[in-house]
Amino acid sequence: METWRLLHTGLADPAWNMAVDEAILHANSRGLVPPTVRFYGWNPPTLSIGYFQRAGKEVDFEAVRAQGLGFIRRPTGGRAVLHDRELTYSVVVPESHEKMPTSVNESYRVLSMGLLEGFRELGLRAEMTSLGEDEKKAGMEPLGSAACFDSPSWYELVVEGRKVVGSAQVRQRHTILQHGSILLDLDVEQLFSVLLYASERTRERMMRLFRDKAVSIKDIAARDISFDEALRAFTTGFERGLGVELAPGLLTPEEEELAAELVRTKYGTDSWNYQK
Amino acid sequence: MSNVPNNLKYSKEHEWVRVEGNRAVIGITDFAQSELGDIVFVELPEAGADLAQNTTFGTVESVKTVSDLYAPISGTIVEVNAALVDSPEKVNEAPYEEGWMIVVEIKDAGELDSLLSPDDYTAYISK
Repeated sequence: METWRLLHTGLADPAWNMAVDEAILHANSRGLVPPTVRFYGWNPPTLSIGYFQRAGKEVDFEAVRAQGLGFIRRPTGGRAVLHDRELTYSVVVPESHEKMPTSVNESYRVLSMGLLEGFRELGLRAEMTSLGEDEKKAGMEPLGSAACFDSPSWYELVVEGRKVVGSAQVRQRHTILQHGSILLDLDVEQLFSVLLYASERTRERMMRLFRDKAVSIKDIAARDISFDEALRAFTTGFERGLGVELAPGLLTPEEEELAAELVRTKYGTDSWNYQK
Repeated sequence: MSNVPNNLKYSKEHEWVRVEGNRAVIGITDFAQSELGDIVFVELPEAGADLAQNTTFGTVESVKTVSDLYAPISGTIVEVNAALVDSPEKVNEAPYEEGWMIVVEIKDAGELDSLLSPDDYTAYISK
């Protein structure tokens, strides 16, 4: 069985977290490190937005500051996520890897098998769903809402129809980076308190829609599942779901160095985070 | 089956090239748009920028995925399809027509020989 690298990098600040994911992508694209599964968390709790989102139009920065939250623009697509009580995962693998289908949609399905098995390990019944065109057109993909978890389109992991993991990808240097949030607990009010809406009524309506579509592990399991328990479950889950062995490893000195440089020149800068 | 027009040249990165004198129109193929899924954002460089073959010239977002686009040949960008900013779906709907992305002034015509013929590209994506 193929061996991939497993990294635990703990709770860290947003710029470093994003820089490390990109540094792994670079190192993997140059053949310096094997495909890698990384687990991490956030300190401070952080609002992240997708690469193409417009920070100034969608984020209430006064509220972000007042609540002591970090802020970061991701290199990946998708919408806003509040990273707080969650286990974050990332997977880096070459586009040409034999397990990877060429279709973007199909690649989510393959990588999400690791998530599916992780939920199974926790004794929870998650399933993969793919929303067809009809459902998308029927408004399952609401326009005008900035929050990521409210658009369960394409392949998504759901429990009783509600989304439990939000994932996104970037494809650079012929390498796939997919990362996402496995929600241990979810504070919907807080997420919507830091996003901008045309009116309070719109905010309320979006929040209601969101509650119907997103759910945390705590809600499903009806008990608290700790970061460490989730980490063990999803490590086993990724091994089983991807059919690989995960060997605990460390960032290489080159990755550490590149991550530090990316914090300085990219993810730690206003020009990156507020660019759009 | 993907549409592979026979008046174009193709790169292994799934870009098409239509040569018009010393200029080349560039976009992504029907196969590429289908593998990417619904494109919701397109980011392209400004006219005047110099491109080197096989380097990134832009990005697209589809299915919450930001993908790099790779220049099939070197050249100076003389025109950019600005309409894609507001209508990125054109890339899915008409990848060889309204979905075109950039026009470059060809720097080295020899590079065109490194591109695939329609038959070779068809074989390449059928693998």
